Amino acid sequence: MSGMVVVGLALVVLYGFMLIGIALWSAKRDAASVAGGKTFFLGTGIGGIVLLFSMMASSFSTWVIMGCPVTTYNTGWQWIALVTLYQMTLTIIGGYLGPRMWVLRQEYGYMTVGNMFAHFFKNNAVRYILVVGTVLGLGATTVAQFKAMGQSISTMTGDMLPVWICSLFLYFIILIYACIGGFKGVALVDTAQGILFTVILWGGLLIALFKAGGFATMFNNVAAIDGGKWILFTPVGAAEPIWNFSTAFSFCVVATVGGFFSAGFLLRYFASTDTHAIIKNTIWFPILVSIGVSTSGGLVGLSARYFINSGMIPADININSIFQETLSHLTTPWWQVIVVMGVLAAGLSTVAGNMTGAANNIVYDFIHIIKPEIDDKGLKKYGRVVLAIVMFIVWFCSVKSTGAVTALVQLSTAFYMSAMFPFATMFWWKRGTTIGTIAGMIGLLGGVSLTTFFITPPFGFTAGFIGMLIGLPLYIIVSLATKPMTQEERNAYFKPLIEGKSYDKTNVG
Amino acid sequence: MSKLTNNGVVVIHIIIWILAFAPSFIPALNTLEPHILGLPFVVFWEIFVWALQVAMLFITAKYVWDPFDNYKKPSEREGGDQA
Repeated sequence: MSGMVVVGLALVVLYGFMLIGIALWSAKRDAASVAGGKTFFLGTGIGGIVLLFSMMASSFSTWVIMGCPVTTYNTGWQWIALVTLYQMTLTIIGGYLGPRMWVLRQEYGYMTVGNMFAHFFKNNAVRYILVVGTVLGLGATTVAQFKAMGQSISTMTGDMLPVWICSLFLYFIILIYACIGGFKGVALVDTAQGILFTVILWGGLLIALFKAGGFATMFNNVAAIDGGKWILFTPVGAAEPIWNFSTAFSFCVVATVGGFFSAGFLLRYFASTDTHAIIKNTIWFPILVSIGVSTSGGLVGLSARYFINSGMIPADININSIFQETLSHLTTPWWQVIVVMGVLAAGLSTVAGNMTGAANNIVYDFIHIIKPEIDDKGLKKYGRVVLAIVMFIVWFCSVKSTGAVTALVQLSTAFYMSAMFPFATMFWWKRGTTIGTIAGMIGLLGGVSLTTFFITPPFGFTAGFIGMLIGLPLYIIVSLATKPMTQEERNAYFKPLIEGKSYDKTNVG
Repeated sequence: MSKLTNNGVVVIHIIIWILAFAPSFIPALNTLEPHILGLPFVVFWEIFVWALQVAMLFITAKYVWDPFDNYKKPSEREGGDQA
């Protein structure tokens, strides 16, 4: 075993202990945040930089180091432009929905988004379908994280340690720090990890640009390969499209709509200190992730095409680990270790955030309904057990799954989209009905499942887009055929928002 | 600006999306030449679209998104119902 592998493994173990230490510090500093189930799952209020980085770290995962550079390498610069477009768009809904959700939570004491829907629709079916969509979405993206993190450590050891052992070790690290620190501890750990992987991504980009001789040199060299197809947008009707228009457009629509309603975002709107923190976060979040994460990671992937073409790195490198392979060949093999730390930072934060969110949903949307007599402290205990079980199932799926990281993340986004119909009925389309909402959600989840597992989506569309094409007409038709909620009922529910609004023009429910 | 509404923001973003996808169907935008500061034109086009979105974020936060400052929590007023 080489010295680098020994040091790398030691650093991984130390890193795990450091995260546990942060969670311990958080629990000691703010004992109320782990006193009972409510604070264990939603903390005692997060704002400012913790809200910003924890949202980023929990939403943008190992994908930024493992999936993003690979996709850019395979499909060109157009992908960076598309990702930037949807990232910049998706948070506009956060500025609209976030403050409204925060007010409704303060007023009615919601613990989950499903809790809010059950109260608004006076129907638990919407809540249960949402939990299914959310847990499937969280599960799919978490499977991808375990795969990527395990792969990363295994690659560092030259495949000496199998992927499943590496990811099992990480399972225990996450379980310990999430159980100790609860939501608040996870948010603080996420912040530290978000800063770490952003620094690593930018470090990688600066090295790649330095070695390439600058942006212009790199772009022009890549442009010279294959007639510029790695730089240019694929024209409509091109004979050999990388991204044909329907794939690119449907990818952006699904990522935007699914991103709007990702469980990581929605829970953090509930957990925020106040509405101003949410609005500030909505401005800085997309700027941070577009410049700091996807563009930097993507450009390293694109640069690899130039480096391989110019013979600076070998052509037979492992494309699935292109970020670390490129930097290791360009500088020092120690980049293998640095990138592993970045992958862990990105992946652990996502797994912890996702699994805490899934456990929250299961505890408050299922267990608390079946056994309402359980007190707050009892729910915290249930939460820890559910966290351990759900995360173990997801880890096991990661060992058996053969799906690519990017494909799994896209699948999770498609599942998150099921929340679009209840939100639409609450805030945007008063003619929407409970039955219509349920029909839309089932249609969407059915369409996504059908085109993911059984048939290939037609016309180059993504599975999520097909799900939306099935769910949306169902939602509209069934809603028009059934009786909506009266305006009086709406006004009674939205009274806190009507009385609390600051602007006359604000539209409330 | 103060007349801008949430619906107006959505319309502006739809226009921004059309601009972002424009190089797919307008060949003149999807070119390696001319170079500006050594970079292909299409790169600058997408940076321009990104800058528009950043500007829209700041404008929307200032004039459209309501922070509901007049809301008082149940603990800050008498009574208040809990679900």
